[in-house]
Amino acid sequence: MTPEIATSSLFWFILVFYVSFVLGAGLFFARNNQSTEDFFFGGRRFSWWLIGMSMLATGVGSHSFAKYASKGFEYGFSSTMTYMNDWFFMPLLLFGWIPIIYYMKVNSIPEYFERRFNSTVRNLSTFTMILYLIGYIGIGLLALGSLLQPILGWDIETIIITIALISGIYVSLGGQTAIIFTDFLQGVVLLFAGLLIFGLGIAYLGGFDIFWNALSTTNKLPLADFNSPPDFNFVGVFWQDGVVGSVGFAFMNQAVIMRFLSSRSVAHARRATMMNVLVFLPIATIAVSNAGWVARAITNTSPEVLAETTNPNSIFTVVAGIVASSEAVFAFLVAAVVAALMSSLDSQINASAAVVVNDIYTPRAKNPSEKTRLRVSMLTSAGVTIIGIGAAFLFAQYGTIYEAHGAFHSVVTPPMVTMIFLGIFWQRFSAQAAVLSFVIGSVFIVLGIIYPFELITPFAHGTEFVPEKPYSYIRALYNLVACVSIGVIVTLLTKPPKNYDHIKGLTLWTIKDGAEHFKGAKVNPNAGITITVPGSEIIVSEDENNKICLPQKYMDQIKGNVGDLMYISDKRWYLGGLKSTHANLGSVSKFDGVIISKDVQRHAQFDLSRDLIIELEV
Amino acid sequence: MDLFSHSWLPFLYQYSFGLLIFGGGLFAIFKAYGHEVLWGEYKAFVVALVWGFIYVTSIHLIMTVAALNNAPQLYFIILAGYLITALLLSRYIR
Repeated sequence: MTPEIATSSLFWFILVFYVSFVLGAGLFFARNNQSTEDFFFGGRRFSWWLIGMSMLATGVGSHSFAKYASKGFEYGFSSTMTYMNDWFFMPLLLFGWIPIIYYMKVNSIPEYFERRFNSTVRNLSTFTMILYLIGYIGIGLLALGSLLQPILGWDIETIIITIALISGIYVSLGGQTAIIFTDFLQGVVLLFAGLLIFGLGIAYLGGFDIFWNALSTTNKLPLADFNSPPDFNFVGVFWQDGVVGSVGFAFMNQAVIMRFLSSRSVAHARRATMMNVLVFLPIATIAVSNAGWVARAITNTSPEVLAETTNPNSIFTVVAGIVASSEAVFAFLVAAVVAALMSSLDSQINASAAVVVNDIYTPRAKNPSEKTRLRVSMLTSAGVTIIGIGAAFLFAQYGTIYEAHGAFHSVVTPPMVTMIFLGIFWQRFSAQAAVLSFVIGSVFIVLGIIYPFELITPFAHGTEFVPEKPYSYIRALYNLVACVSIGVIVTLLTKPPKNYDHIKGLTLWTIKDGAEHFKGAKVNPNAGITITVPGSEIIVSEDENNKICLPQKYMDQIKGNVGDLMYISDKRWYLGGLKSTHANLGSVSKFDGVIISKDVQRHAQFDLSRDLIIELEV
Repeated sequence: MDLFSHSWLPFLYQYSFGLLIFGGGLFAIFKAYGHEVLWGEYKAFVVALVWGFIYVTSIHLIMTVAALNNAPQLYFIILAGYLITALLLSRYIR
């Protein structure tokens, strides 16, 4: 049952104003896109706090509000159980994967696979990656459709198409810089809105004590029952969402990879990730789930206000309609959900375009110009949005969004997760083993779909077999074991290579070569030294060689060598790196001022009446 | 009502595997970077990693105890841990 919620022109004014603002921001930042490097990676220059919040907004999509609030309504606090698992993988992510992709300038996961293995693995992974990203786009669209349906009263297909068109136009024009900046705003908005609905819900119920006492003990436990019911049990969700989903999101989600690559340095990417997981995500967990908890408390105390039979997928909007003290507040809450969708959808659309351009178009086109690549990127963004609409219609037939997303993740992610993990952490894992673990692993995955009872039951930990939706979550464990086993067996049965020179910087064990590869010269042990230079001392030359030349006094302070990589930025921290760039250190300036080449100024758009900071990198 | 399969069993399962994955990862990066480099250059990050593991484990531990003993005031400990973590990360990680 999905109750309809009445709205007036004030509601529509606020909603339309907000969406227009987001679109306007996209168009504003589109001015800065001069290349695909800008369009996809924002010029690799942003600060940790901007990247951290952007990662949060990417992860917490509208599907989160639909998924976790619905499970919060049905089962209570255990709706949050997978949000804290990411930390298990942090050592490998921060000190393994992030420096590998950053220093080796890996633009996409398929590109990593070609460099680590060969072009066959790249092609296999390109196909899977696009499938994964389009699935994410589809889930996001479906989730927003479900949340908006009680307000709009339209059929879900119309809502999905409308939202997809708005998001597609915005991303196609704005690119990564637009996404990062609007994500920051949207991240703040969605956290605030999520906490606001909790506060309003507690006030509506009459206080925290009433809320707490209205929930049963099982509603208040943070983890679900070990293996029942089949549609939400701990062990299945742990393997599907906590392990495969977490690794999939952090290590293979192109949108997240692009956030790492948009950071101004590896240290900033690490710091952004830590802040995101330990500081932003716990608040986000409460923000996306609490509407369900409040709904559960209302249903337990006043079933005449909120019936037990209410559609869990729409619970966020239904609760917002009940607890919001005014229509303006309600409009704000709904706008926050739209923000959540935009912030995850835009990232996934942009990421899909990056994969298509980097891994399908560029390798096949004959030296395409930057302008052509940029145009193809924009057209691809529009194209994947349209395909995403089709995916949303497919998922709509599955039933609950949580299960649809879980089943999708369980099937698509394990082969990629296996190849990435074994590829990074086991030098001996060969191209042959990668191809076979992917191909034979996929065969086992298909067999698991055809014969679930026979093949998956040994891994099911006692989870009940439901013939209509067999092992939605725990099949992730079976799929993972199948792919990893094949990879390990094939590797052990084949001869190890004589040396590992061809994978320098591409595995954890050869990671020390990465920084040197990134810089193209020996690493400078003085990296990290920073100086402040008044903008009035900057002279812009007519050269186009991406160089900065410092006078002797600054060369002595910064202890740099010719060819060193420098980071130059406007001193105002709150710009988050928008007015910044990287350049190579040239010979000592003959003038008293700092000389930067014309392309450096064009890229960074420095305001030369302001102080700049110059940092020695790597 | 026996709540073991709804409380401590999933907790033990999750953090046994969690410790294995986290500990294995920590061991691997110490081996790959070398003890002196990792501890010398990235000490703050390593301390934050270990603190983070303790922190996330304690969240689920305290939530479980609070639910089983009907003690919502324990959530203040989680809040204090959160504030300490935010402070540590924003001030000491560079």
